[in-house]
Amino acid sequence: MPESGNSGAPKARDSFDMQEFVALHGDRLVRSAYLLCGDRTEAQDLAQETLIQAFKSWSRYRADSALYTWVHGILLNLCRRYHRKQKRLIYDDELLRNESMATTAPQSADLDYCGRTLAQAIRELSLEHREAIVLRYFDNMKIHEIAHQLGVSEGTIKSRLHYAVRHLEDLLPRELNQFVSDGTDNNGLP
Amino acid sequence: MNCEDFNDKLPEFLDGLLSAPEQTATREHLQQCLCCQKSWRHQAVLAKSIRLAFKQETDGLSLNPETRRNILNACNQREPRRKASDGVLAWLAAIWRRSAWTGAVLFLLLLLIFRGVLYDRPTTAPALPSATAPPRKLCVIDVPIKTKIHVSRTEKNMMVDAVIPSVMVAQATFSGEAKPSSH
Repeated sequence: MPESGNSGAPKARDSFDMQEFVALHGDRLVRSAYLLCGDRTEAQDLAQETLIQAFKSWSRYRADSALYTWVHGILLNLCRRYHRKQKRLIYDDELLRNESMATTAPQSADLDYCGRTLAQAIRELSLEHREAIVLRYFDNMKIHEIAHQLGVSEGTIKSRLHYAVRHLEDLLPRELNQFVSDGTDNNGLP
Repeated sequence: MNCEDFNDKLPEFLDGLLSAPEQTATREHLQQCLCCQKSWRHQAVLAKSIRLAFKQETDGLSLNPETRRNILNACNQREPRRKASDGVLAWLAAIWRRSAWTGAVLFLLLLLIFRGVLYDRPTTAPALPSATAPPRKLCVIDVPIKTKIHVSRTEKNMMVDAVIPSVMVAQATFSGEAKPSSH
């Protein structure tokens, strides 16, 4: 859960200890930013802007959710703005082809390659589906928390997750099977 | 519980968020239904593989020291504290955000306030005749206006012709001395 580090119920705090927050959640925030935007350099900028913006508007934090969740909400907004800007840019087809060749070329048939291929497939998802997947499987949020965070219904989140997962399966049936069958399968029922 | 219910509750089941009776019913269905066992196993495996992919993709990525320094420098300039006014401001902000009606009501109020300025012309009382001004003379002009005005205009892509048989003079201003009518 995103509350790891903020154990227990969220409490109203009198000050925002940025140093402590960065130490606890800084790396996680930049990783989440990277998964959402797909660019490591941009992820650093997004994380920086998110934290500074959170600090400035901290008085608006109502403590009805964990501090990390609130900060992550700011990150989501900034990522959406980033994607809107990206859409306006003219994308070079040649660059796209080179990038996709560089990231998906089968360098080896091991787990590492399958993981990278899956990550590449996740990057190809639409922003809405990627947000749902990242919040669910990276930030480990529950369905109702994702729904609250994105401002949509739980049914919508389930639907987005369902289609996102189906899309991933369509893209990667063989690699995924190889990837997940290597000791990660769980045959025991709960 | 049927398979459709099971699939609907599967995320909450995996999160352990179901109530005790629901949890029991879901588990019982899972033990009896081979199809749902397969689906559950597939979901669990897929979730694990996605988490692993995310972990591999982000391993070694951390907040750059420079970024960290920039953030702390920006935040060290002033430590924000909650002020008493923050509560009131936040309350007003919440009303503003949550109620789309607030905007509509304010707009209507502004419209009502400025309606008089925008549309109502100031009504001034007619000036009283001053002692120095020449006395007004009432003149009757007996000039019949006989004319026919032919107008045409476009209405819904069609030309509409009309003839106006008479004209009423609503207001006229004359200058010079009026002479009495000869007839």
